[in-house]
Amino acid sequence: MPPSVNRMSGCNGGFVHFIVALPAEAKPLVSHYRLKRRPGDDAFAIFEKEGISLTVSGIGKAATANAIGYTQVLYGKRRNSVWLNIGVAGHHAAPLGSAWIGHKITDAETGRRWYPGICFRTHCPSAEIRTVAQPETEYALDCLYDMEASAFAESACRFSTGELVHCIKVISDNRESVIWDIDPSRVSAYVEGAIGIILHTKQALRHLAAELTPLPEVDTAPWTARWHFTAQQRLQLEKLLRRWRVSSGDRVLPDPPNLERSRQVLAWLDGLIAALPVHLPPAP
Amino acid sequence: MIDTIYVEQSVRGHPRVRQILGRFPAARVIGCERYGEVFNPKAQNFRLQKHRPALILAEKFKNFVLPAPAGYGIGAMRNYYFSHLLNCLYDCRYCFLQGMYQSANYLLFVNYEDFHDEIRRLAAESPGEQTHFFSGYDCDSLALEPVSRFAESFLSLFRDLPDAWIELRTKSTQIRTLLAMQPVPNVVVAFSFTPEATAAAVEDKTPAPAKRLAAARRLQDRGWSVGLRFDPVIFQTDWQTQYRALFEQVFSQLEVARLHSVSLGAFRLPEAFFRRMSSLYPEERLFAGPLDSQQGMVSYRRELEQALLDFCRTEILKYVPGEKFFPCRT
Ligand code: SF4
Repeated sequence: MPPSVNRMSGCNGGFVHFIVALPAEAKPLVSHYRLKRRPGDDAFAIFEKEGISLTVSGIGKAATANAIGYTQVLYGKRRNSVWLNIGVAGHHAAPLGSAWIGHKITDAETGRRWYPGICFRTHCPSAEIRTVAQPETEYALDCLYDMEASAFAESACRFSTGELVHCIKVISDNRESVIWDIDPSRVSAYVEGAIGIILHTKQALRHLAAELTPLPEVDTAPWTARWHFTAQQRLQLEKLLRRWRVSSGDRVLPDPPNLERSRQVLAWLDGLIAALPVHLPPAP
Repeated sequence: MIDTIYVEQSVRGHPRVRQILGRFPAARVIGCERYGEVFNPKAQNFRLQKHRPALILAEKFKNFVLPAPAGYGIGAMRNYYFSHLLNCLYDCRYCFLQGMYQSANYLLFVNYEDFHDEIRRLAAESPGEQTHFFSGYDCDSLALEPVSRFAESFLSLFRDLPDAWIELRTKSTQIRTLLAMQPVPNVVVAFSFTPEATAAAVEDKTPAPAKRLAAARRLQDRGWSVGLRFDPVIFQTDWQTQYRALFEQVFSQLEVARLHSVSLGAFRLPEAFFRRMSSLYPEERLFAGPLDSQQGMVSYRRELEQALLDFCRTEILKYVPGEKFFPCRT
């Protein structure tokens, strides 16, 4: 388990977690976003700033799954954060340095498949990603080959909705330029070259995530301090306060009159809401 | 409009699939084994998918046509519905599809001929007796017509089955297919209406009621049977004025004597659907309204619902004879 829970608040529009396998993939992102290494004793190298984290998982499915679980707990088990897996991949013919977003992810070992929902206008082409256990040199199928995406999709979709979980892969090897020739500086250069696409994707996803930001909790404390509510009545109170907020356009509630019983308070609130005019605003 | 199309392996070569793919040369086309692996996973969000719904082209294997729920009908004893398409181009905030499905992607079953066979079989079960088939249960019947060519395919079937009637339920103005053919007497094109202000608030992406009305009028002029569906009736503070104006507008522009049927429906949703919908749209005023939950269904509070339906019934019956009016559906 992570040693401490950092509750850095997400910017409006959701927290973004980057997961990369290699330090060389992390480097351009760390530098672009000016992320700071988390001090202390983490199980993974983690960089962060307000609203963004970047975890260097190490290579392979198990490492990726562990890194996502660790990150999720570390950042306070948020729901519906943006999760982005950035890394390099191989393809039989795609040009080196070209960036792709995964529209289908297949685990070559198990045959399991994921279909990340792309609900925004992309700035790069999309492709199937096949996650393999060993580096691929044959490139037999018309898809990208990597070693993490399936574990990333499986794990991140436990914590967020699939539309906010995406993989962006930059081509580092193909039949013309074999995987064994790659060195860390070239990996960094490939990811660096895709920064514009990564930035656009992150922004688009953050925008989508903003729609899922829950309304703030209603504050029942002043009410429960003044009256005794049963557990059932507390739920009714919360529901009524939420209804008031939405129906009134978040107006301040008038001061409650001198009522003795919680039942009367609930009835008073209900009456207040019923008296509000109901105008459904035009759709945005 | 559609930039992602999933295609089930088994229908890759289907002529309807080829024709649809031909319409979207720039779309990303993604193969899948069965539609369920795209449509059913839990980690999906209907609201986000509504931004850019994908199209899924699939094959249906069973349950092509099902008995309509009790109380659902416009005059026949035998009522069935079928869903060649799940989900809708439009985005009505009260639509139960948001509560029913994980995904907002359009799922189109391309093996229309299997639906045809089942409709033919059911119609043949009781010759001489009317059987009604409802097509707009899980979708809008016409909104996706340029892509699906559903009406084009199904209406010729009904032309040969005089005892079988089909209702096309729509808010769309996609009537080109219908205008291009001779009217089929046993087809009812049923347009749904809410007052202009309500439509603007809770029927996102739909053509404005005035445009629907113009489409209904054109069809009627060409000899098609038109129906009207005031379903669901939605409450706003000045609802009487709004509904009175709507009825006046609709009945003054259509030829009432040639209307097939007029129906009225309450706003009702299974509680589980309502919960899911209101958590998708916690800021939605419609869901914060004067609603009540009774026996697993959410609807307007009883007295209000009664008032809404009574008022609308009385107003409608000022224009329409009782035998054409079907007051309520479950
Ligand atoms: S037109 Fe009908 S099916 Fe489409 S969103 Fe509206 S209510 Fe739902």
